[in-house]
Amino acid sequence: MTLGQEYLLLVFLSCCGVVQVAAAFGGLRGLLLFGDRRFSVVMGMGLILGSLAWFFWDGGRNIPDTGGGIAGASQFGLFILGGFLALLFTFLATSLTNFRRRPSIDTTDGLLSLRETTFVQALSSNLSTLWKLYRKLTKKYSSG
Amino acid sequence: MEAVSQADEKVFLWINHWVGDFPLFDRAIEWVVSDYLVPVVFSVVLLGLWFGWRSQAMRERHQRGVMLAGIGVGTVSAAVMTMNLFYFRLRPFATHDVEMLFYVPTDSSFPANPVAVTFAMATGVWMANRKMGTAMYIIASIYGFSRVYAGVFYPLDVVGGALIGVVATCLVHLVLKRIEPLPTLCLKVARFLCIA
Repeated sequence: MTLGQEYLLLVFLSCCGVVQVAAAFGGLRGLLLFGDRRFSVVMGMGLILGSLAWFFWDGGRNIPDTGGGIAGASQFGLFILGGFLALLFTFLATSLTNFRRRPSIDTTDGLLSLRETTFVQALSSNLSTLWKLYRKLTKKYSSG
Repeated sequence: MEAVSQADEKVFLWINHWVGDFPLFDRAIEWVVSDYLVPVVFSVVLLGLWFGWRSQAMRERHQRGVMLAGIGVGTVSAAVMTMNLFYFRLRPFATHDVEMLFYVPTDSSFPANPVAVTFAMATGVWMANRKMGTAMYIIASIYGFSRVYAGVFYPLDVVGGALIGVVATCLVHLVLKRIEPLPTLCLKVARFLCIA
């Protein structure tokens, strides 16, 4: 693996870990990969510390970008990509593992609605509400 | 100005001359000084602050802090890039006999860009959470010190970078207040998408 790929993996794993820890503390059950909050905290901390230990095992990785290191702009881009992939993975995986959760009545609370429901259920509920509103508002202007 | 520069160099040489005397400390500094450790840890903390609160009010307060930190980092990076177009200070190793614990960078020594970025993040968080922000300021200061110890920056570069990071983020805070419906609207859109 190149340093860039290793960095991307570090960001992905540590972001997955921190979201699990934060979701456990924030009571966002719909964002937990496993139902148990304590287990999620331990797993999240394990992911963060484990990925950092793996990446920095041989030292500070102090390599210039002219010699295989990662330039500042690329580092920023890789972090955004890794963070995005981690969130996408968490949202999709938790929507699958928690699919038995009932959709919350009010999903307009954003993250708070993920206490009761999953990301996919909450988002689809919000989009459906928006679509209904759009149809209602545009009905009198439509010819059909 | 010359006297300040000479004093800066003296302080730098005094700090850097300890390299090699304490191998374990040097090893620890090689980790702290890394381009990856502190920035990644800070960014992960920002992500945690975005998600990890039980009440909507606390969550929104911290999300505003994270937004501020993010925009602050962008502003600081642009400010440092612009400054480097007009002012270039040679790195310490270019003019002194320096013990290096880091690779040889080629960009301007003043201001210390990585320090400016970490202080911008710390300031954004400090606006929302004093304890966490203070902890981040302390870590950012250690990061800055490690860069001087490793022979990469003069102390004034680090102090300048820290000041630029803090001031730029405070300015962004004022601008965000002036354009107030916009940040709230962004948060509302993010809330609709269930990511805030």
